[in-house]
Amino acid sequence: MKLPNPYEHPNYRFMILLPLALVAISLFFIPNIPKGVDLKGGTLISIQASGSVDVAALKASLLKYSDNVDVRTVSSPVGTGLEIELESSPMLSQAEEKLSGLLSLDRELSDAEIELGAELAKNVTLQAQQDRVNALRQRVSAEAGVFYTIIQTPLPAGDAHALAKTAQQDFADARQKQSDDILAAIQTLVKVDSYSFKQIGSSLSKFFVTKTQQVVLLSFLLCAIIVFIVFRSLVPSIAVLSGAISDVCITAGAMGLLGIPLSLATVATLLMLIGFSLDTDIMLTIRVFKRKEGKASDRAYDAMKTGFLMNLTTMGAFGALLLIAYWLQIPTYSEIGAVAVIGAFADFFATWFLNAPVILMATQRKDAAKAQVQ
Amino acid sequence: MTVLTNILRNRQVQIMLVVTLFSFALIFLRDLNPLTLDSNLGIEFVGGVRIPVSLERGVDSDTMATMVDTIKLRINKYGLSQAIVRPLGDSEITVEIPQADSSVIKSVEQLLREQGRFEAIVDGRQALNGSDIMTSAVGGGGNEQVTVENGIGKWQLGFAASREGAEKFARVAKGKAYYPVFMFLDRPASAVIVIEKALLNSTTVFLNDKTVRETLAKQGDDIQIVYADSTTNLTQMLEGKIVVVMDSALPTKLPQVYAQAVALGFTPENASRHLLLKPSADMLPSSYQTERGETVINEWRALGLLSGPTLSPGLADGYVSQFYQVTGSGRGATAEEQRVSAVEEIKLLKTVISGGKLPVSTVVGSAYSVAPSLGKQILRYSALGILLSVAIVALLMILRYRKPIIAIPIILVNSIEMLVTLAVIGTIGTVDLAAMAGIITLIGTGVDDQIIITDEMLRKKRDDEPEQAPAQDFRARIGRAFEVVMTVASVAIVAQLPLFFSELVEIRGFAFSYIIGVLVGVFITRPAFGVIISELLGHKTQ
Repeated sequence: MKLPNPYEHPNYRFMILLPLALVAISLFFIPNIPKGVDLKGGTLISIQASGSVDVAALKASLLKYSDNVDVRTVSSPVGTGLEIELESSPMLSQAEEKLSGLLSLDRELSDAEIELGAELAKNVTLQAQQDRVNALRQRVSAEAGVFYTIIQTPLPAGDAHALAKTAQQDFADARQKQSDDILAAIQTLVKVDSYSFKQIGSSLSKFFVTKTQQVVLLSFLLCAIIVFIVFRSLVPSIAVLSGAISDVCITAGAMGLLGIPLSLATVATLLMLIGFSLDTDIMLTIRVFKRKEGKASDRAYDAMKTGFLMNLTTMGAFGALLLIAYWLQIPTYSEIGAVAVIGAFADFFATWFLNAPVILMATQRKDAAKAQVQ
Repeated sequence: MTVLTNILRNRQVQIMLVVTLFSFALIFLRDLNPLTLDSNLGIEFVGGVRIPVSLERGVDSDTMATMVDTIKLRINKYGLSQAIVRPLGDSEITVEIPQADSSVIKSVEQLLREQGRFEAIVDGRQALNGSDIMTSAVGGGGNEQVTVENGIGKWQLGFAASREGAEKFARVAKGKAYYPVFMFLDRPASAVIVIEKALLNSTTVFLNDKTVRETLAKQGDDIQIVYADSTTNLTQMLEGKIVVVMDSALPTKLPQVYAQAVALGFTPENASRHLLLKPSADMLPSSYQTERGETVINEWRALGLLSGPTLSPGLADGYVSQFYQVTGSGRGATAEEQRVSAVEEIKLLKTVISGGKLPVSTVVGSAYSVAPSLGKQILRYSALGILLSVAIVALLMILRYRKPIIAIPIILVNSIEMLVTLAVIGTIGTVDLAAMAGIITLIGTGVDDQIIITDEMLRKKRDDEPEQAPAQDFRARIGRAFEVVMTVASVAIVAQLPLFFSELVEIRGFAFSYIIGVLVGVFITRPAFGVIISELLGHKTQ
């Protein structure tokens, strides 16, 4: 394989237009990245089925349980894989919110009762405390009434504490019943061999979103600090970081274009990609900027030969993972594999079309300045 | 041949080989049976159940710790001691039970919903039970204290009981100053405990039969004790009983005694003739000396006895008080140890007195379960994925370098890296799906460093570079390669650190295994690889 050295070309600096264009296009697709159930909340049912599946009928039958149903199928030699995603049912999320209010009111009531009991023990009766307890009891009962209206079940008999307790039980039952119903509805249409059920509540998904944002931001910051420490100079540091940032950007754009969801697994892969794409960028920049022997463009060309192989091995290793995971339908592996393969491919452009010309220009300018001094 | 001897004589190569052997031992020989994989594997690979438990609201870290401890304690009661309970954020807890099927989900739901039965027994009579306790007024605020005075750690816990409860307590406790108050959580009803004679004698303090029987007494429902040996006949003892408690090692130690219980219909699944198998450690009572020199059993986990403070004279005069104080001193040699043990003691006692009730209400989410057979399959496919990835990388190496002598060490060293990482994670952590993905990532990125080193070694000198003596030349090349390798490694680690320290337990394993892999690479395998490849390419390393 004999590739001419592109950095010998007089107009090599125009190479940066390609990755910049790719980043610009990507920015357009990034908002389209679908959020996985982890980050959105809702229910994800993964099914291994045998026989054919009528996707439209399945979707129609599930619309009863959620406003938004998404059914994806993957056929492979080992059978049909189904991924069904349901947005959290409005009834249940409303009930969940009501229930948590109800339970904290009930706790307040218990505390008030204990205070009242303590005062009674000291043989003091305080009308105000007694009134407070009564008011709280009424509020708990009223809230329980609202809760039972939401889950469309008649209000059971009992005092405030008993109501709070049964509400909790009934909510768990209602949720369980819905899961069972959904599964039963699926089973009438699909021959299910095995399945897994994943439900992420709205508060947990919010927690995941903030945490992943923090983690990604912090990763970038720490990497930037390390890069600045290593190069102790502005231009090469920025060149290295722009290589990594544009790699992640292009990959994210591809995720939006191909509909690969942003989930906990893909976020972890994007973090790996920050590190991986910095690999080639740092190798290139150290060789071109820090080394002295020969011509800078030759060093860049040598680095490119090493870097091509690095990216190829990464694509090969993750490509294998992607193939196996796709075939056997292990979504965690296939999402990681897809993002890593795309990332390694995008890194070609980010490193050799963006980082390399920038660092080469900087080095040549530095050398020219030195030559003048001499 | 001299090349090989040179390689094997090198210190770095020797270190790598020793670490490799050690890793094999960690993976296969931990249980001394080389045929089994001994790494800790996540439920994705061994099968099991993961149950998310949502809390009614966000809680602070102290409350979260109490929740986790309480769930652990109660889960043990169901014999699910292998369960892993961990917090996820501030309003969710995951309970993971490896090697279990979906039948345990019901148990966990039940234990989170129901309360445990608390009982305080004084001189064989029930003084308080769970329904007498005002569960929101157990400890908290000024009602719990740990103090260290004159180098002795003491604890104090206050709680409140209902009016009726307090009256019952006053009646039972009257005239019983300095008697132990036995605090049970889920004391088995109508039960017999079968304990090996040899086991009971192994406690450091001699417990006479009277002390033991006083501990087990309760009006109308004494727990019977059988000191078993090979001649024991259980048949009469078990007449009309509901629960038999025995050592989980008993079926192998005294099979004939175990067989008798089974013959009478006692099994772990049967609720009306329930066989409870407990670990040996829980079968042994532990005791302490009171200030008056009496021996009191204060812990017997197999029976749910978790504390045994003595009754202060102020509570034994028949006066009705709704507020109680339990005090004790921490155990340990130093003041710090005593303080820590006092804090633990308070936590445990709070759990017991409130009947294992969780401080915040919970809702059990839908469980994620993996059948053990499916888990095994996923493990096999993961191994297949790794092999295929390695094969593709090997092919690329051969295509690029055209010399097996270069490709083989690259692949070999890369495999060693994965093996060592797997051994480390499987020993100090758990290999779950995320950790496995991290290990697979090492194939792609670990090889990259080897490529950087190889290319540096293969590089032709440019015209303006000075000629050097062979050993010097080698050192210069290694130095240049490692400048890049080290920078790249530190960036890779730093990029994963935030994830590693985050609360995203589901994917933290990825960061963990990736970081370990990079460290193994930088400190063990890369230096060795540098030597191997140089020798093979004819550089003089010495």
